[in-house]
Amino acid sequence: MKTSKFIVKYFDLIRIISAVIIGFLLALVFLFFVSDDPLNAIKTFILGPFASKRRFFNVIELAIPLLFTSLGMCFMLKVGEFNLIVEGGFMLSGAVVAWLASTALPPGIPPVIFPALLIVVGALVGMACGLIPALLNIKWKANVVVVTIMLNYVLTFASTYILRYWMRDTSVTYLGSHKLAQNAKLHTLLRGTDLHTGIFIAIAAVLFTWWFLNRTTKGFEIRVTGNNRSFAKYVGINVASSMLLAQMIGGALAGVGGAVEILGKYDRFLWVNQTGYGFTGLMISVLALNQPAAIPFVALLFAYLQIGANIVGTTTDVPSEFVMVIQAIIILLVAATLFMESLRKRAVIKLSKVEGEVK
Amino acid sequence: MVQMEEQILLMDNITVIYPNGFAANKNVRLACNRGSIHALLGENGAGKTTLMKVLFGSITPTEGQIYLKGKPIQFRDSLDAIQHGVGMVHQHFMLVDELTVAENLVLGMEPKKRGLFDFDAAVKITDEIAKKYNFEIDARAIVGDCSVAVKQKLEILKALLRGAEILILDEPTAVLTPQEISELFVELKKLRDMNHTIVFISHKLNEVKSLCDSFTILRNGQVVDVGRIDDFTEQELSNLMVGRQVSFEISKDAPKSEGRELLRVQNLHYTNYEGKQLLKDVSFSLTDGRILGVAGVEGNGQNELSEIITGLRRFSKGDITIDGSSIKNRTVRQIRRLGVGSISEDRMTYGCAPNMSVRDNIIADRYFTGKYSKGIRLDIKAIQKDTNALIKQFDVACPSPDSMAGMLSGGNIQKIIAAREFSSDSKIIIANQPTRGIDVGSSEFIHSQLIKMTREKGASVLLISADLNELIKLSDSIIVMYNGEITAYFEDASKVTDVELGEYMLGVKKMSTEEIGRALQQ
Amino acid sequence: MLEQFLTLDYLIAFLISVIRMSTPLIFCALGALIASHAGTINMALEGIMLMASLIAVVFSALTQSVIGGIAGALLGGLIISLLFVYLHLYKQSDLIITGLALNTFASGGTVYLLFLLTGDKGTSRLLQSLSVPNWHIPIIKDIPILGKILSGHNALTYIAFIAVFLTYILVFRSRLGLRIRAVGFNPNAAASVGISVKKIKLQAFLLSGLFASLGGAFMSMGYLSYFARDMMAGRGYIGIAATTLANGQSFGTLLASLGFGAANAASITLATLNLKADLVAMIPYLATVIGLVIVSARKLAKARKKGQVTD
Repeated sequence: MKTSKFIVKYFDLIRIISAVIIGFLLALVFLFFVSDDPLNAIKTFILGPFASKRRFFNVIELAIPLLFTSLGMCFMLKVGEFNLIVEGGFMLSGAVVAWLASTALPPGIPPVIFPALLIVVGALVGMACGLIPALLNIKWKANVVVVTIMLNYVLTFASTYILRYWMRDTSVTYLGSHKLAQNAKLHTLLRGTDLHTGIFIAIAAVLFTWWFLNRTTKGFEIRVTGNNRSFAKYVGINVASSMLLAQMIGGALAGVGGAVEILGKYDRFLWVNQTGYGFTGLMISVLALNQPAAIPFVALLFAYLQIGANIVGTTTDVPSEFVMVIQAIIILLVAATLFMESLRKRAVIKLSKVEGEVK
Repeated sequence: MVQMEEQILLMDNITVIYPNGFAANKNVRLACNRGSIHALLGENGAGKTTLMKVLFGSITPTEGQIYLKGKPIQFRDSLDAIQHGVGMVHQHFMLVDELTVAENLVLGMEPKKRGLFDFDAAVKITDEIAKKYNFEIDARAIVGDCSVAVKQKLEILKALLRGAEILILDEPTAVLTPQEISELFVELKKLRDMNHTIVFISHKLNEVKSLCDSFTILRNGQVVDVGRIDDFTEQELSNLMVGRQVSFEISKDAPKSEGRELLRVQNLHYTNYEGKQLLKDVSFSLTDGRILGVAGVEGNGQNELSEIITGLRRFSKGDITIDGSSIKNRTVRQIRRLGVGSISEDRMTYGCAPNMSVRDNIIADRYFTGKYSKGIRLDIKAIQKDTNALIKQFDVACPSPDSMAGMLSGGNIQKIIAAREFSSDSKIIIANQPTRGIDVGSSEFIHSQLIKMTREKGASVLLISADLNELIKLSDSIIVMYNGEITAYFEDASKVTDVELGEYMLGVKKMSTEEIGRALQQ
Repeated sequence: MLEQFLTLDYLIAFLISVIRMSTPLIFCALGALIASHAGTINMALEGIMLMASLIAVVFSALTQSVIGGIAGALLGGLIISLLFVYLHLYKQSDLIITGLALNTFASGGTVYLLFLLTGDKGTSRLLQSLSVPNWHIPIIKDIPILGKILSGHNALTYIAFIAVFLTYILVFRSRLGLRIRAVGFNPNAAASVGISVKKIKLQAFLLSGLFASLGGAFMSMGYLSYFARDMMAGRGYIGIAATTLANGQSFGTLLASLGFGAANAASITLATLNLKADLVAMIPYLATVIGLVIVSARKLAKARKKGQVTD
């Protein structure tokens, strides 16, 4: 009976942890059957991220952009819209910020002020990106998934356009921008790692998201709208404006993410393809059940899996892409409403039987 | 020569108890003769729908047996019922609007030619069966373009094509014009003459009188009377349908009204997009401290009325004022700020956000007020304090204020809604079916709260209910709605009997314009 | 500078390119069309096509036969389709999340498989895979100009055009099609006459996946002669947009696909002009967004007029 109670109470958590464990075990199976030296590959995958200080901090560094995109997606999903623009917004914001920091603005702007200004610009760029599909959807009911996936391609090409024609450094052999102004960059926190002050901004973003959604009137409106639009109308909430606001903030968070990533980790702008952080952000938000408080943990988990896979990819004979498969499987399991449903049902029946006897 | 009457259908001793313990049918017996039209009468919630679901195979009865042509039978599902010759015309048509009449008719049993669907054959089948039963119908028309009457014919033909000998019609006239109704009756009588059996569900007694041969009346899930239509007057049938039920007592003081008019509805008209006029020249007023009951069979304009007053729908003509201010062109929130609270009849769609906490559901109409927020910041302490008090006051049984509302029982969700709508400083409560489908304890609680609102707080309540007992016991005055119009006004609800109300609700009687006009304060 | 592109040769080359670029879109859009008539969206089309194009290459290399390659494509698409159907219809998982996750699954899975088989993470050029042959149409090929444009395309291109007729017959003329449409428009009505809604949706999804798979096969056995990672580049979603644009009509879907194909071809042709390549590359995607918005707006206006949408 105690176990039944436990199962019913923590069912979501049990489901998610089971999905992660299944995904993880599958990853081991993948490695085991594919590698010529399976034990080493498995060891590298699990322990690799802890093998050195640099690698350990790589996980945290990767979690920073993932946090921004998943928090952005959290806003989109909270209001019930599959607005996937965080992918493109993240990239375009990075490009615009890099252009400003490398070419357009004088490098002499004082430190602190310079990055702060750029991050605000990034937020605005992202906000604009979130606004467009939101408007198209609210005004004309254009399918937001297809529209945003298409717009993501447009934004990607807009970014490479900026790179190629506005800030390309022709003195280097690869396709890259001029060097970013030193004053614009976010400081590295720890010697021997790339961990930068952006982590504080990321933490602030988590707190902001939690606070905004749970502790403000606007966040309340977003949650009601996402949960039951008819009810939102019935209690007098302006449904269209909460949809717009949520998607603008979601876009802005992605924009800040793009800016922080560029200013924290890069000397030049180098992105020529979609980063994929937006889709990973979607997966993180889904796995965290859209709870801002849970997002950091899931983001760290995904970063850990990704870094582990990267190390496996570079040091062994297994391609790192297997981790995408694993991440997808975890999400598929969590999204399947009926996954493990029989367990819950049995527990509920057992409980109700016991309660019946007591009565 | 007198033909022996053959009993084609017998539903014997049917009892249906739903999982929540509600007994919708208790030892019901329904018998129909071949070649007759049998009326199944009863108020909303009397158990007619449940009984027909049993007959159509969508519910397995807890007890009882169905006999078809004398043989016991049990239907696995609706398909099984169809195959045994039972057809049903649902109130909401089961038609694909985008397809043609012929395609709808043969769906699931499509004729085939060289592996493909043979549309011409389908048209032929349609024409043949239409001719056989003397129905006029255009096989090639798109169903969505057809009138409601044609759609209904198509539904009947669908059942006939599948070999229906027994045809259940669930309130078929509710959606038809008088001309269409008489046409339908001609066709139904023809079907009867062709030896089909029809179970006819209706609230409109004049129709029943003119069409049916025999009747069964259900009340509270039990059969109250069976007989031949010709032996009873409309009046008598009406009395049997709404006769007194196991009653409950409500103690309430006399209204302490200062005569302040809080709600005034004047010459209200509403026409929906299909051009159907759903509210016609509705006028009434409601003063402080009083409960005005709105009686009527469902679908006679009550829902539209409540949605218009709360701002969810825009009205076509007329005016509504709340404590002197017109609600024309006001948003839902503005109307709520004028002091309107409402309980919607559709609890899960309009009443709550099921995946949000009990607390969030309670504050959903006031989170933005100065009491609970500063700027955009919510004052969680104030919210917690007040919601905890309300949960206690309104006796909401939930594991914690943070539990999801959707996890609770219907009665508890209704209490959450009451906690929200009754605790804001509402001057007017629109209570639309406030106790439908909830347990006795919860509904008693809601009743006492409604009385408290008016007697202690001086608010007024517009109570829309299909439950006549509730209506008579709670209301100070009552208006009756029929076909979108007010057909009766009773100044003193305590002097009305349910029998009397029933006559107006079922369209047997209508008061004079002058009498009805007294509902509006001059 | 512009004059040289207005020559006949250039125009012919452009039209040939339009037909070529449209081929995968037609297949995919037809897949989307079938699903849309069942009242749902096949969000996994991108992943279905991607997996199909990889398995096509692998099978054609293994069997050294074109038919083997096509069979491989169908099998690859079927794997993703079955996963999608199982999770969405039988485990009640969200349509969009499942579709997107499966696309990620296919994106990572194909690279992983590719590396296992070839040791390369970018393309399958190391595999000795075959291409679907080009067909030269007798008589037509001898017509001046027109013959150049219409003849000599990949066999799959012609099959794509035939597939338009096939889907038309399937959806609008067959019994299954009638049932699919009934389920899509009003599942309750279909269920009331004993049609299993789940079963019909399952069949629609699988058919949808099979058509899209052929588009995948074209990409790696026609458009290119090898598989390249993420080679669908959003075509799965453009296909959905094409069907939406055509309101589910087969020949309209063909036209919309040709339109998007033209946008694609224009972006490629213009890129050779030393025009700003990045801007030009946006064309097909922008065209999709604009097309979708226009059609959605018109649909909405119609629904408003009818009063189906009240706010």
